[in-house]
Amino acid sequence: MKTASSEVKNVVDSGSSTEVLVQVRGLYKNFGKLEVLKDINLNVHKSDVLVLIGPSGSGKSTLLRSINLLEKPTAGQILFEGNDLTQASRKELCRLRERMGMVFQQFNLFPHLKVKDNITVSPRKVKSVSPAEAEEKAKNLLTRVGLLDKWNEYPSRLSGGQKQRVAIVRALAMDPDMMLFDEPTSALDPEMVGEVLDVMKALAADGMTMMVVTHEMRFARQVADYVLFIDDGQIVEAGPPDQIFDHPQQKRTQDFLNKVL
Amino acid sequence: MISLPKIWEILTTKFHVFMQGVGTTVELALFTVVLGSILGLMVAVFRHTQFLPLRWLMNAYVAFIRGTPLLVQVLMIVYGLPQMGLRLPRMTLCIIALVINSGAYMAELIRAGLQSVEKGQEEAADSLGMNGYQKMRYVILPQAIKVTLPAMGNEFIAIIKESSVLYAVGVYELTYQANKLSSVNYRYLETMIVAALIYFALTYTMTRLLGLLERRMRRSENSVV
Repeated sequence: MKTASSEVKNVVDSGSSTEVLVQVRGLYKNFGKLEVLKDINLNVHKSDVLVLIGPSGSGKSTLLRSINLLEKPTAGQILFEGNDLTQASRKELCRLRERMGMVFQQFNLFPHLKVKDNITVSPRKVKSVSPAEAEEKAKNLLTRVGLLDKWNEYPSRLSGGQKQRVAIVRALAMDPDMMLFDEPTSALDPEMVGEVLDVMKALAADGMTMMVVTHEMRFARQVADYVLFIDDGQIVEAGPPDQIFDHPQQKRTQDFLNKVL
Repeated sequence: MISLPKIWEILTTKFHVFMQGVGTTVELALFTVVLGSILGLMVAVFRHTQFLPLRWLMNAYVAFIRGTPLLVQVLMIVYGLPQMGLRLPRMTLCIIALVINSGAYMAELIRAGLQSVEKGQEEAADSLGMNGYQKMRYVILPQAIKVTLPAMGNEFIAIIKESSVLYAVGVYELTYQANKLSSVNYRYLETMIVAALIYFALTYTMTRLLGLLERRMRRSENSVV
């Protein structure tokens, strides 16, 4: 099939010795006539933290959102634990998405639900976890991000940083094998960025597989196992953070880093 | 000449006749708003599904109802259904007609509510593995309904007024009762003024009640949503 031919191509590989969790093969995405992603090939290994950087409009968010099929690829395959999401039935897609948590720039907490219900609604309804069990897990996770006192609050009563930490907990409550972060700190006031990044760092240290689109270069350097520089819909350069930040090989990478660092 | 004492006299001596009509009018409006909301909700959700024929059918229904007069719809149902062999009490036929009419308007209101829910909400639900039903039931609909409630209250007020067309098919609602009275006492102006005042009392009370409810909801929204 298609896989055979694309294996020949250059597949960007996060390189750890752990098993491969996500395989992206020949991924294209067009919005109308605009080609946002062009032939992306990528392996993400378990427990790796991949940070996607690049100018706005480069396609990095689209790539991230393609991983759990919030964006439907124009062509290509997304394999998660060996299952092709692009071929999955609607039901299978739901089962696969359960195992990939996602955190959004705008938090997207459910405004009509209290913090506890934001966190427990999907474990209960989607995974049929008992209320008591779901609540206990939610409490444990909230304690870990220091927000147990917000248990009975509505999201509107939380600061941006608190909202995003609750959003992370909501995703973690599903016991995902992987977490996707789409510019998780971009909508935050500067003084709140740290508290969210700290949670993400702890998560990375725990061995969570993560893909993070961010403009926080310091975070990328500290936490990433592997950095992808994306521009114009392609992975221009990829490698460990030291290599990308200290010795970028491509001119486009150098130009971008000169602007943001 | 218009006679003010006559208005008072009609109101006081024939109060029970008007109240009988008010009872029927309120009963019609209550049944219609409740059943119409349920129908509207179903139609709005069906219009949201991926199954195209169902969507087209629902769109056609809404367009047809909104594009034709209520009186024609009422005559079609109230006289048309029995002609087809469906013999139901007149009152039931009237409620069916009003519900079919109101359901289309409610569907439009709820659709606007559904569209007002941010796209990110749907994406968050998707990313958590919710299926279409769960997404609608636990995430989108509760938010949409909250936005739609004030408009649904206005629809209730509209139904109270519009149910007056049922006088044409001989249902003893408020307008029918007033018309019957005036054909006996020949005081059309005074009798209809009484009817209008009663309608106004009903709708004005409802408007104030809904305003109160809306303010309370908005206050809780500031702290809640």
